[in-house]
Amino acid sequence: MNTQGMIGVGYRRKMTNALLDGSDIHPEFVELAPENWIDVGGTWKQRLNRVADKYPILCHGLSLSIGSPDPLDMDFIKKLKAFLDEYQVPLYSEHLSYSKCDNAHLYDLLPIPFRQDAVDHIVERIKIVQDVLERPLVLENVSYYTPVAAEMTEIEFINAIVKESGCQLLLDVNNVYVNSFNHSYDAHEFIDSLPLESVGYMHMAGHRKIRPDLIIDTHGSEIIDPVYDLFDYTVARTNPVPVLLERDFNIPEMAELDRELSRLKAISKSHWHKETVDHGTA
Amino acid sequence: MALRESTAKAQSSFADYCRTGETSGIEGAREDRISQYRRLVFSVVQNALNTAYPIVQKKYMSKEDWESLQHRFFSNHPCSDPQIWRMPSELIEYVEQQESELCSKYPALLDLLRFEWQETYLFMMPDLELPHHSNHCPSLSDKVVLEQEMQLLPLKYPVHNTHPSKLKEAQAGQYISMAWRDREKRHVHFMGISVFFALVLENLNTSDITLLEAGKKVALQFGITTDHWKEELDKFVAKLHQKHLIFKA
Repeated sequence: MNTQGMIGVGYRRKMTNALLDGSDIHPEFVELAPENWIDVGGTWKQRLNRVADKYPILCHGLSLSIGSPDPLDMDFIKKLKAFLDEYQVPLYSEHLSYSKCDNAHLYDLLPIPFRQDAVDHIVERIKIVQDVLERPLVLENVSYYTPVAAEMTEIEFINAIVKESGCQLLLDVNNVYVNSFNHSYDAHEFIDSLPLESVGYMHMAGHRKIRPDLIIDTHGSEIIDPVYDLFDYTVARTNPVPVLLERDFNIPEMAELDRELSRLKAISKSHWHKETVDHGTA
Repeated sequence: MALRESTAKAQSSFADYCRTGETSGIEGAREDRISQYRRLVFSVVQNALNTAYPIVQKKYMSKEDWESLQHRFFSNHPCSDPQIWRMPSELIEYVEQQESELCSKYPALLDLLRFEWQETYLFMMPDLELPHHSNHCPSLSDKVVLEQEMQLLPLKYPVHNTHPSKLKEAQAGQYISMAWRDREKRHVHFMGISVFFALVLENLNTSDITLLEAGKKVALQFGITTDHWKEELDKFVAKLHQKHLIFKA
């Protein structure tokens, strides 16, 4: 299933009827967190099956905890594989963070120390996960509000992970914007320094400024213009990949989300469609 | 493992702070920002617990006691389930093992947690196939097929049929809540049943015997010498059949 260049939306349960009806919102794929669906039956299984009949499904995990000092949870990874196989998921992504430590899940994304030993540790685990899942792992640059025990920069850390593991990058453009604000760096320079040829997926979302010096990546409001601008800048430098609109809280009317999808589509088409035509005529 | 001890320690200190809200220092972290992580992490956990236990949260415990329990639970109990919707079930075991003082203050707390979790679990549980069966209502001489998406919950307090505000005056006893997910609309339903019938169902579930044999076994266990139970069991079976919970094998 080729989802390159498609624009999708993060599937929240309250969107189900609108997605099935398809009159107010028109994503080209939907993304879901497998943790919310593995071993689920009843009504929600039926509804998910109907959504999966209508849209390609991409998965974005929450609990793999690739950067954890704890061992990988192989039972969970096997369940995950069964789920990805059942729904023929062409792309599985996760976060470059950790969410479990000392045998306790935290259900949120904690920043990994930017250190070479953490890189080595994660690279080894990426290979194990990919072997068990029998598919590539695409990892997301996460938003973070404080570094922890860092010995290298964020960009050095991400680049080392991608280079040494060969994994693809889920480039969350909003996270670049949020981090550049919170840690005072230039977002465009950061994008330019990434291994853009390894980008396999992109995320876009809204955020909230809670203090003059701090933005939180909430996924709870609309995307702001500077993030669209950064997206435009990024898309001009990458190959066509699927692009997701994330909206987890304060979910508005579907027509409003659809307008955001249309704007993302217009921006991506302005670069990727042109590129396809250029390639086609070359 | 390639990870250095100091890296693992920094990660552990940070995670520990997110769980407890207490820190003795996290290497290289900005003190003015770490509280955001504690706030975000704990709010996710609180949200999951509030969603799973709305009656306990809103109708049974005081706000202060509930929030304080949430904090103690998340600080002291290592949540083991990677799926957050399942995590609230771990609160039950935690309360049972660690919160005896709170259970004395709220005697029906454990029952209410189990009752609320039963509904969530049955609503969400994987689909279970109903074994091959006839659609006829079984007679007492028949072996039966039971609905697989059905659970019995033994209770000390009648949380299944008592308003939470009246639970403080409720009498402790032996109660059984039977819950099931219907196959048409996939909704969860509840029904209070007697201990006698619960044991009959349990026997039917675990042994390849007829209704009559199961009934006799339980009657013997209860020291019942009359045959009145047969008529009652017959009525009970008819009621279950009407709800598509029991079939002739």
